[in-house]
This record gives sequence, structure tokens and C-alpha cells, in this order.
Amino acid sequence: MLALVRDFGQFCLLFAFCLSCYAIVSSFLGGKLGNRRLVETAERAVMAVCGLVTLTVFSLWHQLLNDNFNLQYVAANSNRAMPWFYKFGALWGGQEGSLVFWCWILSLYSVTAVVLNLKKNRNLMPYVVGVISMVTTFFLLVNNFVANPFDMIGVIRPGSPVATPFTPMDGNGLSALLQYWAMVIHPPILYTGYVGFTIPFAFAVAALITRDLDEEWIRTTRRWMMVPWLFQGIGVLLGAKWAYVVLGWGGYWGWDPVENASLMPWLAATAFLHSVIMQERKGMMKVWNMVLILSTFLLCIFGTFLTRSGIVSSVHSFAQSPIGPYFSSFLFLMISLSAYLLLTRLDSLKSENRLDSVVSRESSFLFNNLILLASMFAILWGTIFPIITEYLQNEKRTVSAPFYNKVNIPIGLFLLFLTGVGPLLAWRKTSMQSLKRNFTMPTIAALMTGAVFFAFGMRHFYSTVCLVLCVFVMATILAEFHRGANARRSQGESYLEALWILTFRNTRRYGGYIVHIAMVFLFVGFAGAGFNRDVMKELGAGESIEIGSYSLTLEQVKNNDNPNYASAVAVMKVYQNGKLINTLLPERRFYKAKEESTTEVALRSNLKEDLYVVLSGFTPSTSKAVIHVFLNPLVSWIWIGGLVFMLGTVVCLIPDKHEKALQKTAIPVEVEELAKT
Amino acid sequence: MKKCGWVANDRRKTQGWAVLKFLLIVIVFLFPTKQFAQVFSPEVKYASEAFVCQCSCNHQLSACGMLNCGSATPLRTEIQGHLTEGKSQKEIVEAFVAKYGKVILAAPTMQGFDLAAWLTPFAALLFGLIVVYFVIKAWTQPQPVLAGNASTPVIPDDYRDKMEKELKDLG
Repeated sequence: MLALVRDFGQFCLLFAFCLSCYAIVSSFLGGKLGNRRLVETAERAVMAVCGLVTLTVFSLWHQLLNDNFNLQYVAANSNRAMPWFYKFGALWGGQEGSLVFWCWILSLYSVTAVVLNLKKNRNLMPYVVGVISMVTTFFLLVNNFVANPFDMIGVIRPGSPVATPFTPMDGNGLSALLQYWAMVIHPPILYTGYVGFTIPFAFAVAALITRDLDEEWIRTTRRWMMVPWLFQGIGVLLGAKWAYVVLGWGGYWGWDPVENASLMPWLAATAFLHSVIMQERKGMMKVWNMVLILSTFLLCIFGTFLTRSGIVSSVHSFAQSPIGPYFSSFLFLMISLSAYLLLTRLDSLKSENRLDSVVSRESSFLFNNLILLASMFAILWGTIFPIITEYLQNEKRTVSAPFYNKVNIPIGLFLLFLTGVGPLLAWRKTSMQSLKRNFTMPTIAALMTGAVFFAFGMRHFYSTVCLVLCVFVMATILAEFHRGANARRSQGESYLEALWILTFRNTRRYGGYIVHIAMVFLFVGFAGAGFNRDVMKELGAGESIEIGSYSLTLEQVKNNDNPNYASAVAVMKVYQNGKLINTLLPERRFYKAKEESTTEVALRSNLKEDLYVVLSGFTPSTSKAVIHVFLNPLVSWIWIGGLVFMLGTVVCLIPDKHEKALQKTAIPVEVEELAKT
Repeated sequence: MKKCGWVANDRRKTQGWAVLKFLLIVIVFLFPTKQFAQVFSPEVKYASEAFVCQCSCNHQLSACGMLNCGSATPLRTEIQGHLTEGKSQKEIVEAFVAKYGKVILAAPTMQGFDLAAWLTPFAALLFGLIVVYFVIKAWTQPQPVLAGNASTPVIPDDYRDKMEKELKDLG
């Protein structure tokens, strides 16, 4: 049965590749010749590919859950002692499986795109399907011929030209670092982000090919960009949460190349979601928006190439294999295609309007985009600088947290400032009177906060500036909500009712403000890092360690053992101002199959600070427990910011009355086709 | 079947790392739950912030949380030794760079080609600012008049007279 399912999975993967190739040819040909039936067969092929990849994924899950260690992938990423949910998660725990998973999400997106556009964007769809199929085909090619999850283990015996199949008794197990609950959901969410950027890319390329660059395609693309942007954002934050709780170094962001690779497309997409407003409202920045859509997708592929090819070292090294040349070739092809199309269509992408004043919403979008892109470039530059120096100087360099923090903190603070300023500037021209009216109170609030911080002895420059700016931005946003709600109250609505109606009457605007509030929360959390403290001490039973107002006493160390791992748990009594407030259980685990050790951090978290306790190990001489305690202020605000970010983006995605009106007035496809004839 | 043997990943590992891994396995097997850790002073922590751990965790030496890390543990011990000898932070950095190369530093230096690492992002930002300046300047300039000079009416006089006459007749 296991062999049958394995062969079935292999067959589905190969058949999906063949059908995907067909979808490319028939969709482009159908688009070129105007043959509707060819295009329809391409769309059906896309659906069939989705079905086949789904069957492949289920086959691989079957192999993982049934411990078929005859497969290289299962043997390398699973073992008998692992709980079923980690076996389930092992699908994306290694290179081959994660690429199949990538392909599956892409195929699900493709089907969604096809189904949602059965009656609209018909002139674009042949090329949209073609481009999506090109990307799908590339991943299926890699999965079939370079990184196949169904490859079997073989042993070459002396005198035999072929390998004999071999089944080990047990597998190596999933990387110990991945055996954490967030890792069961973090990669799928992050991949849903990464992969989703393919769809706006496909629409952009299709619009360039057809020169059909009107408002409709950009409206469709904005929505398609927002969904992966949401998932990418959540995925990045879940990754930060994982790093915080599993790696045990007291931080949540280490500027690892894989972290950087996930952040870069998100920043480019953020820039697009701002500048697209300019195109929709004023018909401006058309070339720039196109560049941003194309760059977002290309950065996804570039990041994947960078981190999976092994050319930069990373904590995510479990996902490395020799697939680099395939990704670099594909990246080169996509860059060439994008550049050619863009350069040959420049005449169709001219701005329709002009600026009336430098002090206007339009200018703020330009600056916002510049700063977002500068931040993205700084991260990209830092990530590739070691490769450049190795190539040019034959000597390696390391670029880690000190570089990124020094370069990105000032850029980030300026961006935070613009988050407060931009939305309050009027379209076309902002008068002096309006500037005074909108900014006086927020500025006073921010300055007063700064003065209070200074009076209380806060001297960390960046953290103080960050918190002051947070107050400024929050005040501007709240003032906007307040002004809007007050205006509605004159119609007899209660304040809360007015706020609710206000938000859902203009979801894009007020959803955007909620996302800005999320950014403020995130920056509050980041600012706390300036005041982090830690202390490390070896403790015997009954001994204590002090940090801030806390005193932690080691009561005992318990040893546990199960088939998957052996662990040591320190039982720590936590006292605050002499009063027992909690018992924390930091743990050290040793995963037997993988022979890896991990920390299980114990946390006491509130809005003010995190008490973060790590059992670092034991001293060789005295066998005492080594306890590392961190006091990290304001970290909870980062996770709260993540939740608010989700809320704000979902509000943005809800069609408001303007969009509903546009949808109602959209010309049905039948009428469109009739008009063409 | 294209690949034979399931230890393909091991090929990439250097011999040195293999030895270190072997030692680590021996230690951990001997003491499965007594996992050794290093206690280091705030001075060592401060000094080690200038360096990056070489275990591919990409963390600063002060932050690597890996148990018995083959890179961080000996490097921190070495820093402790330098501090005991009374060496300053600058001298420790020089000693480390001389011994391990610039790859040990957590960030590029401010000299030679390394300076490009620091300057390029800000140069790019400056370039972007200049571009934005010119874009705003171009977009805020008044539209050029399409035909003739500004004082010349675009509609010829005879047509204008005719239009006015027709409008008067309509009224």
C-alpha cells in the first residue's frame, strides 16, 4: 500500500508537470489567436494541476504519517517517535517537501484566480493563466527532476551498477528547532504570502502584454496584493514569535538572511499598497506601481534562491540543497521578461495628472515609497554584501544585527513620522491653516511625552524618539477617527455607532488607519528593546537570581524522558517585591533522533514587560543549573500589533460603498464582447 | 532514482565541523540531561557583542544560545582570557581579526571597501531623494501650451466670431 501511494504521488507530480506545460502553451496561444476554447482548456488544465498537486501532497502526508523511511525525504525529516502533528508539519520541514507545498499553494491560488475571473478580466486571463502556469511549471520541474520528495534511498553494492533500495529502521527526525507549535502554522502562512505575490505579478505581466492598462486591472491587482501581504505580515510575525520562544537568545529578530528574505517583498508590497492609491485616484505613478508589483514577486524568488541555495549561511540551513542554479536561471528569465515588457510599454504608462503643491498627500506618497524602498534596499544590501566581498575581495564578511540596526533604525523612525504626517495632508494642496489644525495637538502631545520621558531619566535616544513619534502618530490617527465620528454625530448617531459606520463606509481609509495603529504598537514593542536587561548565573537548589523587581529561586531540576526527547526542567519560583507571583518552568530538551538540543523558554508576559527565563544548561564542574534571565520591556505590544494588523487589513479588504458602486456599474462580459464585435 | 545514499547533505560539511559534531554527540550521549553551559560575565558579554558566532546561527557572539556551541563557547573563553590579561575592547577586536579574519566581526568595518556597506544604503536614499525632488519639480511645473505662444488664442478669431454669433442666435 505504501509503495502504491508513493508511486501514485510520483505519477501525479509528473502528470501535473505535463499538464502545466500544456497550460502555458494553450493559454498564450489562445490569447494570441483570440481562441476562447484554447484559453478555456488552459484554465481547466490549471484546475487539473491543482487536483494533481493536491493528490501529491496527500500522498506525501500518507508516507510521512506511515513512517515510510524508504523515502529519502521521510527518513531525513521524520522519525517514529515524533507526534503525528510534527509528522504532518514535516511536509514543509525540508527542501523537497516545502517546494511541493509551495507548488500546492500556488495551484490553489491559480484556481481561485481562474474561478473569480470567469466573467471579468477576460482579455487578461489568457496571459494571467499563462504566467501563473510558467511559475507553477518551474516549481514542478524542480520537484520532479531536482528535488523530488519521492526519491528512494538506495545503496550501491560492490559490482552492481544500480542502487538497491534500502529502508532504515528509523528516520533522522524533524529538526529540533521546528518541533514547536508555531512551526506547524508559521510556514504555511508565510508561504501563502510568498506564493500569493505570483498572482499580482501575473496580472501585471498580462496587462503589459495586452497593453490593457486601465483602472480595472489595477483594482483587481490591489486586492490580490493585499491578501498575500496580510499573510506575509502574519508569517513574519509568527517567525519572530518562534525565534523569541525557541531560540532562547532573548530576542525576536536576528536579521537572519531568511528573515530578511521574508521582509523584503513585504516592504515592496507595502510601498505598492500606498502608491496604488495615487494611480487609482489620480492616474499617477503607473510605471512605479508596475515596478513595485514586478519587484515584489522577483524579491520572493530572489529570497528563495538566496536562502535555499546555500550561498548565505542561515539558521534555516535545514532547507538548503543544490537548487540554486535553477532558481537563478528562473530569476534571470523573469527579470528579463519583466524588464522587456516594462520598457516596451512605457508610452502606455504615462501619468494622467500633475501635482498642485509640494505639501500634499501626493508628495507624502512619494516620500513614503522612497523610505520603504530605502529600508528594503538596506536589508537587501546587507544580505548580499558578504557575497559581494567574497567575490570581489576573496574574503568573507559577516553582516549581522549591528549593521541592520544602525542603518534601519533611522529609516524606520522617519517612516513612522510619515505614517503620522501623510494621512493628514490634503489631496492636491494643504493649506497652512489645515496644517495647524491637524498637527497642533499631536505635536503638543508628542513633545509633552518627550518631556515626561526626559524628566523620568529616559536617555536611550532611539527608543525615546521612537516612543515620542508613536504618541504623535497615535494622536493624529485618533484625531482623524474623532473628527469623522463627530461629523456623523450631528446626524443623531451615538459616538460608537458613528465610529462603526464611519469605518465601514470607507473601509480602505479607516482600515488603513487601523493598520497604522498596528504599526504604532509594533514600534512601541521595538522601542522596548533599548531597555532590555539580562543576567546569567549558576544556581543550585534554593539559590536565587535577581533582575529588576523580580527574584527567581530555583526549587529543583526535574528530568523527564520520552521516546522523542529527554529533558531537564528547572522549577523556578518567581517573587516580586518579596511576594510569590508565579512558578516558571524553563526547559532544555535533547532530541534523540536528530541529536539536537533546544531551549523551551519560560515566559511571564504582561503589557509592561516580559520576564524571559532560559535554562542554558549545567556547569561541568558543579552540575549547577545555568539560568539566563532577561527582562524585555514592551514586547507584548509587538504581538498585539500583529493582531491589530490582521484586523485592519481585513477591514481594508471589505468592499466599501464606493467599491460596491463600482462593481455594480461594471460592464458584464457578454456586453463587452458584443461591443467588440 | 537519481541519487544514491541518504547522507548527501553530509558532503557539504567540512571535516572540522564533523569532528566538532562528533565531540558534541559524545558529550551529549554521556550526559543526556546534564547539558553543559557556559556562564559568562557582563564584561565578556559586552566584549563579545562586536563578534558574530560562526555556528551559522548568525547571532552576535553574546547572543548565541546554542548549547555547547562549537564556535561561541571557545570564543567567549578566549575573550575572557584577553580580559584577564587586561586588554581593551579595541585590542581584543584586533587580536580576533588577526586570528580569524574580518569574517568574525558582527558588522563591516568603517575602512576600505567595507565602508561601501555603510555608505551605499544612504547613498541610495540620497539618490532617491534627488529623483523625488526632480519628479515633484517636473510634476508641479505648469503644463506647456500646446500651440503658439501663451498670448495667442488657441481658437482662431473667425471661428470665435462665428461661434458667438451662433450662440447669440440660439439664445
